[in-house]
Amino acid sequence: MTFVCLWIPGEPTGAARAAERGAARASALLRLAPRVRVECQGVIWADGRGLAAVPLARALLEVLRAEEVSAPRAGVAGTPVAALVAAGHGGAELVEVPAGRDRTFLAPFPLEALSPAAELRPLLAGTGIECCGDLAVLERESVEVRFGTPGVALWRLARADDPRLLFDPTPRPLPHASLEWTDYALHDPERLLFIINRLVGAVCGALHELGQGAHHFTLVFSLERGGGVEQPFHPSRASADQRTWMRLVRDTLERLRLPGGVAGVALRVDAVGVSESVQGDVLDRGFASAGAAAEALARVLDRDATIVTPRNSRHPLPCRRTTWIEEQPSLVWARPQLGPGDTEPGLALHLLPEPEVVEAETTEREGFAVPVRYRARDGWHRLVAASGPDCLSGGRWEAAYAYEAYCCVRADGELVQLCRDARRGCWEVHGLWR
Amino acid sequence: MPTGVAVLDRIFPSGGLQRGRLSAWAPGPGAAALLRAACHHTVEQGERAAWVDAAQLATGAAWRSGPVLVRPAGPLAALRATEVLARSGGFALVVLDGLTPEGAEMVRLSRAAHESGAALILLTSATALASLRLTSRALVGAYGWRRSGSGGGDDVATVRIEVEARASGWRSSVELALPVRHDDLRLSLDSGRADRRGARR
Repeated sequence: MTFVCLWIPGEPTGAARAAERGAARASALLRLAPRVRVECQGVIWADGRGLAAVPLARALLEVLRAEEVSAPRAGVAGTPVAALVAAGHGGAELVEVPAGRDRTFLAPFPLEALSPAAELRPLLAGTGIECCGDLAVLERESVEVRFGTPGVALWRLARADDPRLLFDPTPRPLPHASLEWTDYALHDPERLLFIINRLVGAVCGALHELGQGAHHFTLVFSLERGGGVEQPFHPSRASADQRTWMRLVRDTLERLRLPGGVAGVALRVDAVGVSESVQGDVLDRGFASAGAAAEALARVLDRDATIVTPRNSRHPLPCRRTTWIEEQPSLVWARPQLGPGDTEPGLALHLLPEPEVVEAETTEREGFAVPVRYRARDGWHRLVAASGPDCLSGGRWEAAYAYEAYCCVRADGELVQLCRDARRGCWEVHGLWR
Repeated sequence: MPTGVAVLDRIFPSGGLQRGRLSAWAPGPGAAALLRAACHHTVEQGERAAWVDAAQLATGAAWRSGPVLVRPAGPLAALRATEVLARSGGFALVVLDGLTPEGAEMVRLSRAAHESGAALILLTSATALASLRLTSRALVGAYGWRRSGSGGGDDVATVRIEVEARASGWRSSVELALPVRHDDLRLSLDSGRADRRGARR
């Protein structure tokens, strides 16, 4: 007994009014049934799986009467079609179809009870098939030949073979585990870690069985004086690896200060994702170690670091040209595409995190002040040569800039980029060729 | 592990950077350039290389895809990331740039490299525990120049550097010329000339 069908005779079919009434009744019925579905023409379904369906149906009928519904009826059956026929044509206020007897129950009812398609009615009448039992005893092939696909659908219903999915599958509860104790309170982090390790093992095992990993999980510490402390964790990728979880927990517990002794620990998973199963390139020499590399990068991400690749625009200023895109550990499974000349060594400009303001001595050249030496934090640097300037200006609508950039050769051999900020009139070291 | 630069590999005791060992390369002209090339050569050979950019000096315009670029939040995160990557066995070459580890940290990093067989290179002047110590310096006066389109002095086209490798009972050096890659994104329509708009005459 899983399906409870409630039927309200003489229910008007006005769409807006019916929807309003249906919503009100559904909220009333949901106090008793876990899931309710309201259909048109006075049909309401209730999910009775796992419950005592007949008492539930009686209680639901009472609720409908309390909602001033006149003469509601109910059918209880293992299949939706049998429950619908029992409610609509059963002849009593509550009709229960015994388990496994749905087809036998349907057999004496006229085919009209199954609401056949309009084009089937004359065909069925012409062959003398009047009740569900007459249609159910026929062979599928003969029904298909004579009545086509709609006939087969009706034939299946007559045999109490109803594939309708009235209620979506119930989502599984996310794994969780907890432990509480009353005789004492824990202050020792090591003993706490021992307990958490067991909880993590149980939850990770449950996640493994589901083929999932947690994106987000939370440890809840119940304190001896009441109250609790929640500590969320966000692994860099969906993981059900006990070692990874414990590493995160251990790192966090080292910094966590609890206001009292702990009398219970609960671990709950808040968000899950499918565990990554990346297919690599078997012809890649690094294929065998890709898993270890991905695991290492995940650990790096968990420890205040990012994996980045640059995305460059065509902004004239190198410092505003690059957007760093954060990558995931799974990037190691892809074979990187190297460009021509990437393996050739060459000095390239590297920018300092912040330009260093310096004092510079200059000389005149073609109307520009060309630096001949500058003083940085580590003292004076003589410049052997300074090529340039490249005059870069713009950004009127964002952050305006105007620089004269020089590529300078220091006496010690370093190549530095020295810029004069034309707006502020100061000299800055922006980077060096490394 | 060869760097991909043949003349450089000849001065190493084992024909390349040493696997399972910690090497120190003193920051200087060409050090980062040659290590970048070594990383790309490693990737080209089908293995993995990682560059831990502790000082966040890597510039998008200069960085080429291939090696994994890691940007830690601070010195401690940089050391942890380097140790994890070196110990993992998934990376053949790991470079730590912009940070000088202390004594105990050097021991941990050295041990991590030894356990996994990775070549761990520190761009630092601290050479304690380093089995291979490298220095590079530009040969002043040996620059290659090219005529600048802007007329504002000639541009440096190549730099001649000397790389010296020292190991236990081993010392060798080589001179090689490295090209200088200039920024090619200028506003001037003429690719050979720098833009002078906005400049004070």
